[in-house]
Amino acid sequence: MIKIPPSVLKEALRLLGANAEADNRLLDDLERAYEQLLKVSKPRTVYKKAAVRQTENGVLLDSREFVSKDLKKLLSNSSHAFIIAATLGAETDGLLRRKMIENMADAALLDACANAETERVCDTLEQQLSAEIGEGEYLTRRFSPGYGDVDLKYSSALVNILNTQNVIGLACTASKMLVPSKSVTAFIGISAIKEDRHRRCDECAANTDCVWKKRGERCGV
Amino acid sequence: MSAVAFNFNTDKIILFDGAMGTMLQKLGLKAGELPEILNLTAGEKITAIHRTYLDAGADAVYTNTFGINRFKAQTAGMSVETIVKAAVQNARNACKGFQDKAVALDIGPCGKILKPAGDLEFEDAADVFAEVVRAGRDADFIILETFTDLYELKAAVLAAKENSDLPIAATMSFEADGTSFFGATIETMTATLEGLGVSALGLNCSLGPKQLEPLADRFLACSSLPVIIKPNAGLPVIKDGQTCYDVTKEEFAKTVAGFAKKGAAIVGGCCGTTPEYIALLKKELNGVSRKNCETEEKTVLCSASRLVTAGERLNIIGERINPTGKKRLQQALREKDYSYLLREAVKQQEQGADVLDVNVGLPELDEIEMLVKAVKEIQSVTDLPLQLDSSNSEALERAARIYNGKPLINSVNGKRESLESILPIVKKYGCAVLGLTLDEKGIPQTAEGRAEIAGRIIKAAEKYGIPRKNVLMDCLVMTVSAQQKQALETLKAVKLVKEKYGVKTVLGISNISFGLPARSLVNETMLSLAVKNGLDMAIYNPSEVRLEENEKAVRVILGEDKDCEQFISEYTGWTNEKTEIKTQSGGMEYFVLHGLKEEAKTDADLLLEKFSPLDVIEKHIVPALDKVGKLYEEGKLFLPQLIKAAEAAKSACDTVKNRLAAGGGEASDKKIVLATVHGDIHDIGKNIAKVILENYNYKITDLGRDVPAEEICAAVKEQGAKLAGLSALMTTTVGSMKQSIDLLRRECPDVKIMAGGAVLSETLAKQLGADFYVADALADVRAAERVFGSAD
Repeated sequence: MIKIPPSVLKEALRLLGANAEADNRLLDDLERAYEQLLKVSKPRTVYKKAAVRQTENGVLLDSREFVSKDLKKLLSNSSHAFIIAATLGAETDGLLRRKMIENMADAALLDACANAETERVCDTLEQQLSAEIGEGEYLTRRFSPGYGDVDLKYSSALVNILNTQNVIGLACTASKMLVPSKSVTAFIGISAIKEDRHRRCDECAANTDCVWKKRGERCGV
Repeated sequence: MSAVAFNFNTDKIILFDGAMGTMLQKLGLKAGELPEILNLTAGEKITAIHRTYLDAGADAVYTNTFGINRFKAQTAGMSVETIVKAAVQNARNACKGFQDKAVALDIGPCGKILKPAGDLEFEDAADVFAEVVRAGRDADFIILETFTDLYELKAAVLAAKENSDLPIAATMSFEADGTSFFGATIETMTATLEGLGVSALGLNCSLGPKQLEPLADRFLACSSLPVIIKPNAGLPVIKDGQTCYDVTKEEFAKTVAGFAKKGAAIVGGCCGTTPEYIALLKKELNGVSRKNCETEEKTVLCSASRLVTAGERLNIIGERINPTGKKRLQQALREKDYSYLLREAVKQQEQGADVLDVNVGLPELDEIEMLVKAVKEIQSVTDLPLQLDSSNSEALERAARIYNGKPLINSVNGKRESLESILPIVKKYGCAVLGLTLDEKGIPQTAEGRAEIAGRIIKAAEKYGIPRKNVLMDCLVMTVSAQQKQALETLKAVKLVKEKYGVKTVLGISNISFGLPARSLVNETMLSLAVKNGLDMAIYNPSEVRLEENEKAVRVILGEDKDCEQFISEYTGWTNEKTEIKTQSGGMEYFVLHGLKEEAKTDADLLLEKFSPLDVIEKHIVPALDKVGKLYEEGKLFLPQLIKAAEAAKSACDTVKNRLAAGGGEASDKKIVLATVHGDIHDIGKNIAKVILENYNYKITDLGRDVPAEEICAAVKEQGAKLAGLSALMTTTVGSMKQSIDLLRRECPDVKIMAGGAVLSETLAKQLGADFYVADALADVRAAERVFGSAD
């Protein structure tokens, strides 16, 4: 029997707007959705280590400039950074499309599980990366195009740098959406100091309309 | 160009070159640089690389054009034509002084992903490839390589066919399980490309030679064309920040030569291989001649990811997507409600269909446009191969073109006009075709007469170059209540045609019972008898298939189940009644609140006996949903439960709508158009909104995702919708949202607009000019209530 990993369950519940009092039926449904997801998902990751150079308005990585104050700040103590990409693969999107026809409730559950699973895959990769760095080096948190002031257009730069289309089957649309949709591209700095690895509300796109904030709670990311 | 076309069918093993990229890196190509520009800036170096491969013994070299197309050329400010022409010339220069060396125009994937996964239209992809093909006409053949999406590869093959006369070879990249990143398998690739007229096919890149062994075997087992195997020099490993590969040239040469000994006609190397690898491989190939692999002649159909082989067992071709005699489907087609078709498609797959028939022909509709759209939509939600069913040859051609796989064309018949219009389509797009045994004189009354027409159709197909394995025969089921003797002739004809011509047979069964009571009983019986006579595929309602049970009964009748022993042991206590739906008390509100679909449906049926359809919706279903909505807003129910409730309500609503369609009567006039804006491909939020809104009895026209502003405007006008709902997920598509709103304001001043999606906020929605910001699906309902007035 597959057990949904606690981190995936927590994140999926958060995405569904459900809090700790979620009833058993919802938990069972999520378990079932996760089981279906595992049958089709084919997680693949790729990464590259690159030297970081601070520029006036951002950073230079792999001979490309990324203009962003937030990224500059994230990497202010890093001489190198990892560029990572992860995807659950095209089959997950296919299953999701089918579920949206068959049963929308199942589709919403699957969607939440898939988003949470993508995060888990990134977490696993991050663990692998933290084993690769040296003594006295620390990973910053993951920072993706779309966070803070990092323009979404940089998704396609990351896709090109990592040659993701040929290596893990991940590409970018004209409007910079990742395909397959359950995918992530991100920067992770290799810092000389221990960094605060939490995301902050003011960097979140949902900040002004956050349902959790309205309820006086926190989303928990 | 050489005087004669490159010949893939020699008795020698053909040796292709090794990696270009690896050599360019050795020359010091920097990250981010376009390798193809070097054709212009360092042409002699590129020529020198080609020459090292020719010196090593390669029979053909790939031009340095793998990644070039208009998207990439643009970023470098160059034209595709300039770069490709220079590349071909560089390769040609390298061949000087050699005999019988060929230049292959190398084309890789275009870097964008096709719909439905991505945002590139099939024809736009074909156009991108066509430009490269035209610029590279001076090559000796075209090699399409490293594709991972079979659909994109099909676009490239068609572009190559339509824009040059050069032979085409095609290879894809697979993972260790023989599946590509986009789900194509070795078998579906082979089935699709064999018919499209390529000269050789196979795999490149992916993995090292050892890991590719089982994959090479699979190609050799299914391909009737020469097979190409061009592996990497093992798996990539990072050494001192550089990518290296872990297989030595000796091991590479030995393993790859082994593929040639087994039957691969063409070998070479991909990433990580160098001229030394190719030279050693050449040595290993010394004395190896081409082995002819006999492949079994199989009749196969496929989507990009699923293959169906006729004759292994009875296959069911789901017949539900055909408007003949189906009022609800007719209504859906008139309203362009593709989601109804999609539900039928998914349902039939669940019920065990192997193939789906797709027929959208209604006299008053544009069948060409509808069939193309239906096929695109259906292939995005099911991996079952499709049977394209139309009497309009243009509709068939357009649908066959954009189909992702090898479809079955339904149908051709013995009439000259039919043969001449349908068979060229079958040939060009590499389809299988269903032949109907009738001609100008009608349907012959005897099995022999039908077999004679079958023979003529097969002969005509072979004249067009369509192999017999791609022709299936339908010997036509007649209505038994009108022409009783014909049932036996049909069964005889199935047997005869199969024996005489060795083709697979298909029957549309349900026609047998027309005009009779207990139709499904008659259908089942006919199906069993047809199977006994050798039927391979039945066009049938998959929910009615009870073949296994029938088979056992037939074995009793034919005396194969001695003393009825097996039958008695398995069927004692059997009842023929359909499983009763467990009835539960509680009423509509309870059923909806708990997401009990079947119960809600049964309850709707009961209510319809007492109340008008609209009353059932507005006085029973909608109030139940309102209760659910209230609980959701209070945070006592969560999204999945809200949707489940909506779906239970939907099943009740569908029951009512079926009644409305049957009576041809009152449908909702509260019309809303929904769309995810242009450039945006994420539509789950919009789809959730749709499910919820539909159950408040709003009439939804769902335009899908990535919808241009003009299309939204046109739909609002055509439907006379009072409300349009637009969704956008990311900052990059807020611009499209703005364009759509502006256009709607100009063209349809009366329509109200609600906007939602992850990127939006109350403030942003107002700035963009929307009337309502909808944070979630229930907010859509509230907005709709303000536009149309409250439901009750």
